[in-house]
Amino acid sequence: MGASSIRRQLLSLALMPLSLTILAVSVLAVVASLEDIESRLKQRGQDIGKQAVLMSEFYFYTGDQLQLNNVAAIVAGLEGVSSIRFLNAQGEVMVKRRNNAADKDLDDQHLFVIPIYSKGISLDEVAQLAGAQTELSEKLGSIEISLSKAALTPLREAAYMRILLVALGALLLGVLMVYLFGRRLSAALSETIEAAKSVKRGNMNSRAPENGEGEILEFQKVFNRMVGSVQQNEVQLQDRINSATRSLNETVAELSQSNRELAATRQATIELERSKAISDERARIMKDMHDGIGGQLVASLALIEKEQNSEIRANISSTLRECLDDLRLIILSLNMRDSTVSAVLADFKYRVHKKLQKLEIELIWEVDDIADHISLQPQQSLHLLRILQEVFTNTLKHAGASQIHLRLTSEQGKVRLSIDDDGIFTLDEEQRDCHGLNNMQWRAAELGGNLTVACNEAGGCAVRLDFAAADLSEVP
Amino acid sequence: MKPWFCVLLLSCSALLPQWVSADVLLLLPNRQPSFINAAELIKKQMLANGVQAGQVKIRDIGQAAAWDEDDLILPLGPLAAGFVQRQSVANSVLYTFVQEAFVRELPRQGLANWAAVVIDQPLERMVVLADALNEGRYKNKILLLHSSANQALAEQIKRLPTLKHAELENIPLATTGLAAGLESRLYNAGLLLAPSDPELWRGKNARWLLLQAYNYRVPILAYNPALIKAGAMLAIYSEKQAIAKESARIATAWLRQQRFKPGRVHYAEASVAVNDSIAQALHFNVEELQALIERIKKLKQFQEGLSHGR
Repeated sequence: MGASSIRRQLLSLALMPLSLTILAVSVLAVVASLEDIESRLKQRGQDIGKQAVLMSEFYFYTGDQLQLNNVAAIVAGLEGVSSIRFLNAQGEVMVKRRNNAADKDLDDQHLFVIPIYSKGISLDEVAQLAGAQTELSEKLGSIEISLSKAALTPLREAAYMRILLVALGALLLGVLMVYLFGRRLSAALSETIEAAKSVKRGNMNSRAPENGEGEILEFQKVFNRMVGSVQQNEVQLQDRINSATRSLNETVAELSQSNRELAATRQATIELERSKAISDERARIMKDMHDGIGGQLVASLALIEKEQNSEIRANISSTLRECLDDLRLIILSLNMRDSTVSAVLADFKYRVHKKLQKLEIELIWEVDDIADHISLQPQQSLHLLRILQEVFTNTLKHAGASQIHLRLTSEQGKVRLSIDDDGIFTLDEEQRDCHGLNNMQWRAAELGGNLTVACNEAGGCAVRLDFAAADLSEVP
Repeated sequence: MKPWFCVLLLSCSALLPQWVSADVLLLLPNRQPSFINAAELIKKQMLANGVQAGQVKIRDIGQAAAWDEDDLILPLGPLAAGFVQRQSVANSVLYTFVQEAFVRELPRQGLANWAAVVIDQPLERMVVLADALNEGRYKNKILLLHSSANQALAEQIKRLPTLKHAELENIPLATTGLAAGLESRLYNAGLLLAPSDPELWRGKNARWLLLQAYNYRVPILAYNPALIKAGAMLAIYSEKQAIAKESARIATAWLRQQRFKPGRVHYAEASVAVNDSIAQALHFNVEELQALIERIKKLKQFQEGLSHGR
């Protein structure tokens, strides 16, 4: 569509001036041809006139009308001559002859009047020096020769036909050349347009064929360079987009990480605040328990100590002392802040050591160094202390053991706390569902671990608490 | 008287005429090359005659007329002659390169001492040549055509000698009636003389006469070589060199004698031209014709210095 439009435009642009030029040239050629015909006719008239003069000059001298009549007959017989007249010096007709009597409309432009003069004789230089009349001419008469208009018609028609054929030939040749040139030009342009459309569709590898000439070829080269430049820019832009995307992703990841860290920080802050609130509450409770219950227990113990020795006083005193120890343990647990397993175990050893010595029970204590690196929250410390307290209380009350072996080992991040005694293991099915064992297992679960109670090889009780060091550290 | 004084006296007497002698002033009507050339020819001939170069001056009438009263004025052509006439000078004047008809029309008063060298040949020479040409021919009539108004020619006709071999028929014609009665005369004519006659030998008349004479096979003896090209068989005329030579001769003589015969018309040496084609067409033997001409030119009438008084 575009090519045909360009072709039509080229045809219009070229044919209009071409037609005008051919028309102008044709008009000029017609004018020139008509002038040439007129000139040739005039020349022919003059030639005929010269011949007539040569033939009749002498008879003008002699006034021989018979001979002039013969000359007129000869001249009138020439092609194109319409009429001839011989006139004397006074303008009187001496002889006249007309070929076509009906042809009365003689064209004055084709009437040739040739005067006849008696030319004098040019004398020599001496006569000229002496002022002699060296040449005199005298008009003898004139010859009028008229050429027929009919002779011009075929000449004019031939000229018109010739010019028309030449003009048509030139026009056809021009149309052909314009068509061929336009097709070549439009082909180059249309292929370039197709390449542009292809580029528009996104095919940046499309190029215009450099098959034009001159400015078209320059245009195609510029177009190709432009497309190449656009393609290069696109690649660079894509690279920049990819780079920006990567940078954005990284930023988003960093932002996400920051958010997570911020959330963790916030959570830690919340936990810290909550922990602080708990700690504050715990400290208040601890103070209340220490000042209130502790004071009451100490006062009660002091009062009962003042009583006389009796089994009741001893039992009450012992119970009060246990209550007081238990209260101290509770206060201790509440007072612990970010303690370690090693510290909890050491504190428990300190508390139970006197009781074991009093009962003459040997305590074997083996704790791995990893215990120094496992941190515990106050609640976890309390869980661990309650488990130890329950295990040792059961052993002291029911096993009748002489030796207790406590070990803490670790292997590949797994920590095991083992408590063995050499007493009598009497745990039946009914006891398994007792409240104390369930509490220990619940507290073990709170520590993220597992607690089992079984009979060891010595027949005593074997308690195993397995937990992961990392779980403890991560336990809130 | 001592000898050395006598020698000195004789030398002075010999040189005195040179010192006191007049000059010759060649007066041109204009500076046309043809007049300058004619004047140079005269001067050259005078120098050849022994005249000193300082005695011959060339002037034109546009220049201030500066001549002494005893100088010889030599106007070339009718314009210079007319100029001298209008000056009414007392000098001797030698007209040259003028027609005899012009000399005939010069006013008789005013110029006491003058002569002329004309371009024309005297009719006598033409008639003598025609008579010789007509010797032995069947048609022995020689026609002499001239206009009735030509007085110069009429005077010459009076001086013509009697012909030996032909009969001269004098035909004064009116220009308007040229053709009337002439064809019958041409039929019997052996020769047609065409002397200088501006009224007759011009334009239509000249061409008609030449064509008619040729048609009747009558040879024409014309006065100008241009007529040879137009159809005349012979022409007797004066060449420029001959006129210059005759003018120089008379001027040199005047310088020596301080005078010449006044009122005389001098003719230059005659030249004769032949149209060989016409001659052969009219059955003349060209070689014999040339020999006859050479023989005629040696006659007395053709000798140098022929002149007639006006």
